[in-house]
Amino acid sequence: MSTTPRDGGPVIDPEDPTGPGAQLREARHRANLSIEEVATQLRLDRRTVRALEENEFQYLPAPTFIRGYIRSYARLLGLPPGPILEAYDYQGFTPPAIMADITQRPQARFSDFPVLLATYVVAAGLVAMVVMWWHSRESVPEAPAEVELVADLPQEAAATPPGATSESASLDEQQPPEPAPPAEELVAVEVGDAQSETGIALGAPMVNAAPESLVRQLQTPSESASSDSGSAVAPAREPAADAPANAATNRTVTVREALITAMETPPPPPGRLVIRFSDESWVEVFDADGIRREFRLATPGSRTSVSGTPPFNVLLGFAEGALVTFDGRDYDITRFIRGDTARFLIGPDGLAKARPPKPPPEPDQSSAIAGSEPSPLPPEAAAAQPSASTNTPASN
Amino acid sequence: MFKRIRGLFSNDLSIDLGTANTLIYARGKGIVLNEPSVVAIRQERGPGGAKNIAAVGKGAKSMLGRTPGNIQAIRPLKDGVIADFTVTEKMLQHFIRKAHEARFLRPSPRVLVCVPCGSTQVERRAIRESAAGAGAREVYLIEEPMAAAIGAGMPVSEASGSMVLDIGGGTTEVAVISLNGIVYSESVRIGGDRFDEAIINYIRRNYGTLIGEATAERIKHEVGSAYPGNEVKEIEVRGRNLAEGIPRSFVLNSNEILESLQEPLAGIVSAVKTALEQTPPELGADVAERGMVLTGGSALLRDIDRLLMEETGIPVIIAEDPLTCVARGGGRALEMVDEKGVDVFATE
Repeated sequence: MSTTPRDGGPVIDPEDPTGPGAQLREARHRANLSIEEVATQLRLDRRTVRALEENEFQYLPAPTFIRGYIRSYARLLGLPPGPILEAYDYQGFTPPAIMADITQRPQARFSDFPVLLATYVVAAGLVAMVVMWWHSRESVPEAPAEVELVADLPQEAAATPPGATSESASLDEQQPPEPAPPAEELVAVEVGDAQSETGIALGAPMVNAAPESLVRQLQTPSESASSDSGSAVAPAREPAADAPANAATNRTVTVREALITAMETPPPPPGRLVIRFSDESWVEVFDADGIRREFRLATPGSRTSVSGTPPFNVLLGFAEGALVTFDGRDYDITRFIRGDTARFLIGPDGLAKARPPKPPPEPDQSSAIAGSEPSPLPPEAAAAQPSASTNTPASN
Repeated sequence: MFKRIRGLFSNDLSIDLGTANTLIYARGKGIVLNEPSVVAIRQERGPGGAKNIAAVGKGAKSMLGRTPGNIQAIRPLKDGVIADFTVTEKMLQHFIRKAHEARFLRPSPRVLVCVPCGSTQVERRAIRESAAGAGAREVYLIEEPMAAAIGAGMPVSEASGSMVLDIGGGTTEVAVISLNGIVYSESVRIGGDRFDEAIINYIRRNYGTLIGEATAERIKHEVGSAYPGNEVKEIEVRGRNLAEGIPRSFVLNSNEILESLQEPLAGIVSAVKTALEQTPPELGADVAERGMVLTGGSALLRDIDRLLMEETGIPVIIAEDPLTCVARGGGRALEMVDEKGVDVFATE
């Protein structure tokens, strides 16, 4: 009976029609044990033992338990559990699926593929937008800015020449007193910047005679002020009284006009060297002819501007605190700095290394005390020197 | 960000960071590593010198109790929790790299680590930190009995009680699980190590002889049993005779070992009885009907199911491949989380 295939049971292994249950039952009979005895030994229900023997696994708990029961049963009967388990496995039971509870719905997590994809797409889009914006910002600005400036120019330029000349000239004359340097400096800066940016674009048609003369005017007072400050101070004092009020009210207008003027300005005449000092320093400048154009102490915030034949041979006492501009272009002089000083040649071709000027500098005409100059005379003629030095002031 | 990219090339790992053995299950590959949780540390030149790892795993275990002065073979985990944080991190790092062998990129897998259910917040934090320090991209923690039940194939999602007893190297965890959650759990710090210790103590008391841990473990594997059986096995061991001071060899039989193991086994039995007492009656009835499942390396102790069956009167089943149940269960839990959004993880 035990060897006959059972109807109504689960799918039974065709190679071993008895299934695992029959093997167990046979072994139990051989061992002369009743189902009750087995159930007591294994602490199982009689029902469970019977279900095991009859291959009715659907009434039993999860396969893990069934395998465990089979193993225990086989061991009790002294059988190797391997073949019986194989027979059981042949019926193709799978371990129970682990399910989420009903209340638990799958929560979207960052590691989910759609979420991950969406995140990366959004991130990539953002990056692309930033790149595009950056790109457009780099390529566009020059054109609109020019258009704007050019559009502004006609009406402003038409109105400015007479007014602007007087106003900015009066402003420039105040250079030695307080308010002037910023405005003056602004013009200088703007000339430099505007030239590089708009000089080419504006070109010849936009330039007229008036602004050029204006620039000359702008430049000349400062030069005279810096070079022979003694004479410049006197006339400058007079407008200084009404200057602050004037400057305060007209500051914006003046700055704007100065800006416009600067934009209309053609590149400044070649060979104009401007040195601005942010620290205390001294400066000595020789031009190409070997003439000393500048030799003075500089205070922080002051500036020196030198005109002459380029290239200039420049010696700076404290080079760290000086900003060198030649023809409106800034130059980096750090590579010439030795200790604190820097000596270099500057000209339209740029910077170059320089040596102390070969011909001993002639006594400068602008220098008041010729006696302070090093004497070119041989030592034996030194005795005659005092008479020579007394002669020079007399001739001056 | 970079970790995430490396993660694409890394497998998810489930780590059973046990006191005695560390097992790593890689998703889609099965158990890829099964090594003792032992690290041998070499001290370079003098007491102030640098320390470096001499060996990890099997190599280090063979050094246990056999090291010269400058090498120290230590087990960084005690009672299922981290006793030496830095060494554990180094060991994990080594194991993760080994499990991920022959990879171009340094692996950065998602890692699930099993923690004893009785571990404190600090201990869990230490395990999490040390897995993260070993290069894990994300660290999940799961309570050991939960992983063991999943690994044993128990129907944890059903609304019926499943009782699992996980006897590890350092701890024994007993838990009743229903609906993907732990209804009752208890962790006692008795495990394979305590068995070894009990054997060592027994032999010292009765034979006046000292044996090492490795020998004790060998005795346990070969003749150890939890319930008196029909046949008596014998084993010849060598140890240092305390009175004479020289190594002596002697023969032990399984009944002696059974006697020596009584104390730790009683601890486990009482934990199981307490669990059955504390389990809600409905779940208790389910457990009584279907039985409890034994997992963990010490479930391989001969006749331990028999002992528990006699003591509790309910069926006891030893899971298949009990040693790897926890690691496999952790791996399945990770898969489940991805597939079905089931949350079976332990909070810190």
